[in-house]
Amino acid sequence: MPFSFSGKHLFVIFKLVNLAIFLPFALITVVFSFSCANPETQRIMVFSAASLVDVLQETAPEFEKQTGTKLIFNFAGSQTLAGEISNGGPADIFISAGHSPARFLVDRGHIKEENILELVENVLVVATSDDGEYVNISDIAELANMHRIAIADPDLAPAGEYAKEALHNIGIWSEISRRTILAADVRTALAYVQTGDVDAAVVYITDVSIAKGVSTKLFINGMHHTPIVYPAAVVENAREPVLGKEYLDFLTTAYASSVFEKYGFASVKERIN
Amino acid sequence: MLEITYITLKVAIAATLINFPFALYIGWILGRRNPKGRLVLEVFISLPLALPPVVTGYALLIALGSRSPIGNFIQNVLGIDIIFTWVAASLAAAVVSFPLMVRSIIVAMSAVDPRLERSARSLGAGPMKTFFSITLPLSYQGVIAGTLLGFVRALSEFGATIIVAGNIPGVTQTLPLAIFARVQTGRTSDAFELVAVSVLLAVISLGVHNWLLSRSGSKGGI
Amino acid sequence: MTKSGCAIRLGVKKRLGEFTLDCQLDIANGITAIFGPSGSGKTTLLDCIAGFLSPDQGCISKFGRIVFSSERSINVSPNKRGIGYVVQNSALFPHLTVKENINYGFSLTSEQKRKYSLETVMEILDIAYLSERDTRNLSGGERQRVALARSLAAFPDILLLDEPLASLDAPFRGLIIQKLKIIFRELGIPMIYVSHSISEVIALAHQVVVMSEGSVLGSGNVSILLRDSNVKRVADFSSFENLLQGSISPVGIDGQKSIALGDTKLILPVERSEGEEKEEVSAIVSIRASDIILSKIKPIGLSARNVISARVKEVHGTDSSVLVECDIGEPIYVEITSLSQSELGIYSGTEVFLIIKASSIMVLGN
Repeated sequence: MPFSFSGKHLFVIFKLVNLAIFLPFALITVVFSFSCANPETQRIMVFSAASLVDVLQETAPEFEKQTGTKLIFNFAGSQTLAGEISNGGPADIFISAGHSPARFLVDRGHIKEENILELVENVLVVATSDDGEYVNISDIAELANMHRIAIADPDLAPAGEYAKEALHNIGIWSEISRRTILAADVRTALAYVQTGDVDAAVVYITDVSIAKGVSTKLFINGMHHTPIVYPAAVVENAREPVLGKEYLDFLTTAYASSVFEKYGFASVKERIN
Repeated sequence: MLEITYITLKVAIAATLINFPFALYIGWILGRRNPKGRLVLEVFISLPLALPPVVTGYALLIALGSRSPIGNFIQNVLGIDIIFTWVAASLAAAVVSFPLMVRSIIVAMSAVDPRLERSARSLGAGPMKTFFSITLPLSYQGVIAGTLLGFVRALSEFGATIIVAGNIPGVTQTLPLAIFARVQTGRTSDAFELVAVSVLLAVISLGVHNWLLSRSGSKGGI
Repeated sequence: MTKSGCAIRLGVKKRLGEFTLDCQLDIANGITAIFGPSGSGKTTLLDCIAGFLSPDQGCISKFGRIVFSSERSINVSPNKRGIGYVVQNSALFPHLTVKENINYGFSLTSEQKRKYSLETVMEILDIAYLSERDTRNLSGGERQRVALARSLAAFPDILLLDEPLASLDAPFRGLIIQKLKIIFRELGIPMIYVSHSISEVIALAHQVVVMSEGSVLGSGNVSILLRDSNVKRVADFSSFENLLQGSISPVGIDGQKSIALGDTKLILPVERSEGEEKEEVSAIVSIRASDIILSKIKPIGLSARNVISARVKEVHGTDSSVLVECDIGEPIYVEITSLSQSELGIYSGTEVFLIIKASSIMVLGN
């Protein structure tokens, strides 16, 4: 060494380095705790399938007003959310589109089976453009004559799985599969109808409203596919299990149900009938 | 896997070939001349860089879909399909990689000493002759670099492609789309194989780039 | 093609930011210098003539042919104007050899318009030996000669030069001055060149256009630089050098080297390292006006090698001193203080003796 550090030098350098490392963390923690909601305000994190975004955001202010609890949403693909939860994501509530993501979490102990509540159901429909060749389609068998149709890619979205299942059970899948575009997601499938690149899309009724110039022309009977339910549950080890349960109860009230219906969801009770 | 690689290469090469003349021309205009409306042009060509590729994909879908004037013409008059074919995939890759190609070319061209071009003009050379005999030979390294950059970007294009070309195996499923599909369905080991191929393609492209530059290293540059 | 009328006739206005160019000029056939301090708009004017800048309004014509007219919306592009342009620092094409550079304009000219051959041009400028060379390792003088050859090989009707001597070392300046004179003499191409050096202008130009702050202060024969009070304001006469052309004889039996210029002969310093030159060589020498001593009586017993009799042609006052123009067959200028001038009584017609040390004479390349 060109020159030696005395003990005093080392001590000072050690202190400085410590400070340099510690300080940013301290700052971040302080800033974070201030920016997080005031501990006085309760909040719960809701991880939900993307298709429920309209309903949940519309009903949120009412819940917050009634209970004083703030809702923080995380909307994404159900499987993606399940993955996040199993890796420790801080969800209080999980709402899935379809059973498999919920099952995935049950198997890993993040949700107790008995806590699952089937919230609502969705319905598959055939949507076509309002000013195209197939504006007046009346029978599902007409799909077999179309140039092209679109569904969400079954590998990527539950809506696609259900659509494929239904078309298969109806008996036209083998005919139409070669001419079926597996779209990246439901919105894209509907976009193809809008631009005229497919003649029809088989999607959830709740999605059709987002596409201008496209509307539901046919309903697909629920018997052709497994029920499209939305299981919801409070997550084990949630920070606010009690508040979470309150939210689930809220989602079954008449008010919430009316909003679900407005967007095209059917309540589970109806199907059983 | 071979088929996926073939499609990927076909799409990327076509995209690069489509872009090249435009990138060269616009690179020249913005790098060497001072056109009116320069700002507008610069913003416009940078858009695909700033926007998520998915947005670009939707824009292309709207512009070229069966109902659009262009799409209608191409489909009904020329009898050609674009959406859901590899051509659409090429166009998507072309649009997304264009800003990268053109920006490199702009930089390369603006580095050419304007007095050299003036000298050429005063010696009797028109704008075209000046461009091909003076500007291009003095900036070709940047042009090559930009082209390869665009090519590599076109190889990895995903967001716009999946919208406008779909993910149709054997027709439009490129490497990025195939990797995505396998990852989403949990077939991660298959995905890894494809990732390895992607990396290989990128490495080869960059290797070609370096080889081209070193070959002309002694002659190029000032 | 006969060259009738003015080489260039122009009247232009051009606004560039805070600076406005506003000129009306007739430039005759010959070597014309555009002289002025930096920022006076000389290069801007050249750019307008060449076609690289379009005036806001006005008209430019070359030998009677209009190349620009804002009224008639005529704007001939630079490559069609037949006006050559040699920029400062030569701007040789780095990716081409010397021969390819020179051939650039030559190959763009149709056969019937080629008035002289490539070889002639290269011979005049003495660069045949550089043909296959790269442009990167040439000396300043070589670069400038190649640039000149390149422009000439494009057969311009007029040649524009922007500070052709500014970036050159002393030895090369003399060389280029000679070459420019030769070009005009042998090829008959009028030249317009920009310079901020009074010494060069007086040595080279037939006509001068003096500019300041975007407008023309005066134009005409070179002597206006010394006579016109408006013009003298912008001219910097300090360190004025006489640039004289003559021919150097080989070292004689008496060990002396001399140069014959005008009607006289000057003794030059002999360098020990010089080889045996057997022939006469044409060269330009530089003698600073302040290095010459004037005497009214013939001095004797001086160590200076050159004592020359001459007649004073004219006395010019500059703001700091007096420049005495003497005639030795060619004009030579001597700088003295005004006090000396009045004390000695030096006026037009006075017979004087010029005393010049051999070591004050600098030979500028050959």
